[in-house]
Amino acid sequence: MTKRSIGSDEDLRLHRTMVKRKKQGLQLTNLPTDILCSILSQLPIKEAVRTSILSEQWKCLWHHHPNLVFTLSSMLPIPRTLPLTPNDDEPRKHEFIQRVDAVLQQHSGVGVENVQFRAPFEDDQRDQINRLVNFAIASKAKQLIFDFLTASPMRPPYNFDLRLLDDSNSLHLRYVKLCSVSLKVPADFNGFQNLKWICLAGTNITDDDLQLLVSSCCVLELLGIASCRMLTRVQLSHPSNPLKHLHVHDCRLLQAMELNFGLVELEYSGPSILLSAPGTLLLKNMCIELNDMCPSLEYISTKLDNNVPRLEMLTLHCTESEEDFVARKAAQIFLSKAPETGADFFGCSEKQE
Amino acid sequence: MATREAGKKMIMLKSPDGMEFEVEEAVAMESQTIRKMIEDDCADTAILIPNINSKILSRVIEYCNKHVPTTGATGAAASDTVAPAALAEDLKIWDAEFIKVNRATRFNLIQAASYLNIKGLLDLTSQTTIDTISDNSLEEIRSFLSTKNDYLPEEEQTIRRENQWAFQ
Repeated sequence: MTKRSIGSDEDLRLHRTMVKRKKQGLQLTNLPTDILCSILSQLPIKEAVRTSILSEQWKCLWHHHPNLVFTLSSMLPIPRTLPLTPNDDEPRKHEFIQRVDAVLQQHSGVGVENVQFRAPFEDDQRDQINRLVNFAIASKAKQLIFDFLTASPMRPPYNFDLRLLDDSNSLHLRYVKLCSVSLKVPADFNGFQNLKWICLAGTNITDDDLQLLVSSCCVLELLGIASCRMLTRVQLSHPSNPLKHLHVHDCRLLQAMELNFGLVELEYSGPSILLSAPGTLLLKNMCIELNDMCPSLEYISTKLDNNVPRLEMLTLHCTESEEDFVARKAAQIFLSKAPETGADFFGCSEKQE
Repeated sequence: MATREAGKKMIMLKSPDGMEFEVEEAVAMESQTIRKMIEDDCADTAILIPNINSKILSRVIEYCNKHVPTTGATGAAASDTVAPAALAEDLKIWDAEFIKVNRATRFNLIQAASYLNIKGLLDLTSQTTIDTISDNSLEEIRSFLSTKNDYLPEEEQTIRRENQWAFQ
C-alpha cells in the first residue's frame, strides 16, 4: 500500500517533467493546417469525422478529406442477424444513405481525389446515387468507384446513367470502376476525354456497347473486364485505339477477342477463346489462365506467335491435369519459335505424376 | 556547385543555425522541393533550408541517403546480389529503427518531410499519429496531440449531433 503510493508519487513527478518537456517541443497542433490535413487524409472518413470533436482547430479539418470511401461495413455496425429478404435491409440502407448525405453536406467539395461507394443499391435509390455522382463530378475527383453489390440475383442491377459523367463533366476523371451495374451507352454519349482506366465487374453490357464505350475514351490505357456475363466478343482492333493493358477475367460466354495494335500487356483467365490481331502487335507481357487448355494454346502457338515478336514474358496457368501434356507441348512449340522469350509455366510440374 | 568524385554532383544544404551539409545531388533530389530548385537551376550556391534545424536536417539527409535508389557501379552490384524483396525488408527494418524518436522530433520530422516534399518520410513519420487517432479514445488522442478540448458544452453537443454515427 505504502509502496504503491510512493510509486504513484514518483509517477506523478515523472509525468509532470514529461508534460513540461512536451510543452517545450513542437506540438502536432502547431503544424500547419495543410500537414494536419494530409495526415487526416490517410484516415478512413469515419475516423476523420471523429477528430472534429478534439478541439476548435480540428473542427473543419476533415471537410477537405480527399478519400471519400463509403461502404456499408465502414459506415454502419455489422448487423446481428443477416437479412433474409432484400427488404429486411431497407432500414440499414436508409441509415447508410443518411450518413453519406451528412458527410457530403459538410464536406467543402474541394480537393477530393477519390470517391468510392460500395453498397447494395438499386434503381429505387436513383436520386441518392445521382446526388453522390454529382458531388463527385463537381468536386473534380480523379477516381470514381461504384459497386452496387447486387442485393439479390432476382433483382435487376442498377442502371448506371453514363450521361452523368459525360463530356465536360468528366474532364478530370482518370479512373472509373463500375461494378454490378447495367450499362448502356446512349447514342448521344460524348465520351470521356481524359479517362485512362476503366474497369467493369459483374456489369451487364453488350458487345456493341463495350465497343462504343472504349471507342469513346480517346486516351484509355487500361481496360479491365471481369464476370461480364453478356459479353461474347471483345473488339478492340480499331487502329486508333490507344489501349495498352487489357485484363479480362471470367467472362463465361466470351468466345473471341480482337486485340489492338498498341497492346503491351494482356491478362486473361476464363474459357478458351480465339485471340486475333489486326497485324503485328507490340505485346510484351501475356498472362493466360485457362479452364480448358488445348484449343486456345494451339491457337496461340500456331497463329498468334507470328504477331507478337516483342513478347518478353509469357505466363501460363493450367488447372486440368489431363491436359498438362498438351499444354506443355504447346508451350514448347511456342517458346522454340521465340527463344529470347522468358516464360513461366504453372500448374503442370506438380501434377505430372 | 561543388563536385567531388567522378560524375557525382554535390549539393550544399544549409540549416538556419549555420550548419552546412554536402550531399550527393541524387540524395538531395529525394526531396521534390530541392529537385525542383535544382531543375530550375536555383542550386548553384548553397541551398538554405528554412525552419529545419541542423539536428533534424541531418536526420532527413540520413533518411534520403538510405532511400536513394541505388544506381552506378556499386549500386548495380548491390542490387545484383540482393533480391529486391530482401532489400525492401531491410529498408523496412531500418525505417522502424529510424522512427524510434521522441514525439517532438517526430513532429519536427513531419514538418521537414512536408516542407521538403519527401513522400516516403512523410508517410513514415505520420503513421504513428494516424495509428493513434484510429485506435484510441478521444481523451487519449487529445493527450497524444497535446490538444485541449476548447468547445463549450453546447458546441460539443452540436458537433456530436451532426455526426452522431462517427461517435458510436
